[in-house]
Amino acid sequence: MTDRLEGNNATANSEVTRESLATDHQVSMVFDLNKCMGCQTCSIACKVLWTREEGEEHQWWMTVNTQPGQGTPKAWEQMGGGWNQNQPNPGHQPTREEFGGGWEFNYDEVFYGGKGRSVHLAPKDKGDGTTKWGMNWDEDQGAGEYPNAYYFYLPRLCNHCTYPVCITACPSGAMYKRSEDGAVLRDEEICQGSRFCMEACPYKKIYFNYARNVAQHCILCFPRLEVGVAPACARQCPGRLVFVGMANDKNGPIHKLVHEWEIALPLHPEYGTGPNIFYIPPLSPYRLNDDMSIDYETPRIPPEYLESLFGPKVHAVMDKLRSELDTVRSGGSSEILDTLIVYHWNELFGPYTTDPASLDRRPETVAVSIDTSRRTANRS
Amino acid sequence: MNVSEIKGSTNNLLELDWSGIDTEQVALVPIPITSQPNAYIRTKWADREYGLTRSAQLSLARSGNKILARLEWDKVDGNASEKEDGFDGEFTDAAAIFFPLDFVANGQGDQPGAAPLTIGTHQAPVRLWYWRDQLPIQRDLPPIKELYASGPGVFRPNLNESVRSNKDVATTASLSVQALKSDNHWTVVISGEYEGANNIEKMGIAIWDGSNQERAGIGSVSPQWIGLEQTGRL
Repeated sequence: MTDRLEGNNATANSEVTRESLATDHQVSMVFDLNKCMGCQTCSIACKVLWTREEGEEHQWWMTVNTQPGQGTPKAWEQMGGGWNQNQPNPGHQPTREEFGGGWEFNYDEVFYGGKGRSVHLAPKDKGDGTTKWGMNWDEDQGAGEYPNAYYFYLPRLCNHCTYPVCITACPSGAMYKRSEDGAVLRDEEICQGSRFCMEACPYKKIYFNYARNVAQHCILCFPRLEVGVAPACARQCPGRLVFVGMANDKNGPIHKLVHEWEIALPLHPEYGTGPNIFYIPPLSPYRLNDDMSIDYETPRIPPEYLESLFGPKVHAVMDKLRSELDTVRSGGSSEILDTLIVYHWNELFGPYTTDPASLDRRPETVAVSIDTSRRTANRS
Repeated sequence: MNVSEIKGSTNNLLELDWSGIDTEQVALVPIPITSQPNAYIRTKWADREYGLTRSAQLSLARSGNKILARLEWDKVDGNASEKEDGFDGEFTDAAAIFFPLDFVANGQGDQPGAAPLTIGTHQAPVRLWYWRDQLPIQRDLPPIKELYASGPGVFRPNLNESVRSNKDVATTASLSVQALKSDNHWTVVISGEYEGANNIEKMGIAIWDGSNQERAGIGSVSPQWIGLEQTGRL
């Protein structure tokens, strides 16, 4: 535009910079993708706990998608956002159509309307495109051709990033990173629904509540953490694959898996936000040759595809995991594999082993009121 | 512009008798990109057109301690290229009137006061009465609310600490609004109680075109204060 006036920069004095956002304490999670069976128990555990109100129908703070796939929102990896050389990178705001979900089904018609033999149970098309995609729309499609087809599951939630670009994009200062656990939270009393956070988040894990005109996302189950209970997605996982703990607890599994053994990697590290959700990348069977003999040099999941998700360090991780497997197969022992097996369920949860049933009051029933005095001092 | 007492009942805002009340055509400009509150917004909107609404008609009156403002403007069609980008029209049109608070923060009394062009500054926030057209699902939300603005889009329900500790701020209450859109022409009438309504000397207005994804600091604003001459004071 040529006719814009030049304004002052007074408000820019209180801008949040990338480096100012890191906290000394950070709750992190590690998902072992070799154990995820795509059952969506984590998704449901989160859904029934946090997003049951009007305006939250399409919100799935926890999702499990099949890889390779377009995921949710549809083709989210092409939507931009994140950091580019310490500058925020413009992004696309996912639409309702791209998120999909929040469906209402024709239960009345099929079950009670006398059309049980002529009408199929299906989502009602509300004309907004949301029945054309969903949180696990492309489940189990994967890639490759028989007999070398492949896929694996990728659970995703807010990464509670060390450098959360969503916070820096919010004009009203509604978002902050909590100093005691690094949870990225939003004061919904301040949020004005401008949705720049949704654009800036490169993982597209922020949703919009149309009924309340506020953005919303995973809160790391902070009311549970405060009373020693692990996040619902982790505690309800039947596969024992979700580790929770403080990243700087050198005796905890998070520190060992991420920093000591270096076998857990963040998703799309190139986005620059410093995710605090990490993944043990998936091993896969070897490819079969045309004569059905085994090609022991080539895993079925292409290493270059894993690199596109987890960065170049994934190759060293895969080598280490295979080496540990070889050690055990030859009669040796492996602390890494013993940790990943998780012989004792509570070992997953670090300091968060309290049984919520043992509490007088369930943590999720505590009002989610945000005490602004507890914010980390990253905004002047 | 002159501000005088309006005649008759103020119960139905769209049916007020505005005869004898001053009306002014106010020129609007895009809120400057250089003043946007963070690098994300400055980068995202650097090369995109916004502030599509370039003028609005303002009528202003008093009724006791109430201020009554009528805004009218023609809505401009949104940016076609953005619609191709997949945007599905989820931002709604909005408008606001705002008034300077009569002080600046931290005892910096010699600094210039609030700037209308940026809808306030950190040191000198403004009182913002913000109306937004609502989606059907937003039926339970108030259609208008009072906010404190300390920059483009830096809208909060409370004053920031440094300002709040500086001086008590007179509160307002009983905000109400009625709006009508007809043939792409908006008429929005805002009513609010304001302690000292007959002493207000200046105000500003801002408008956001929702179909162009305008919100927060991305919108149109009156670049200078609109001077008010109170007539027929009680």
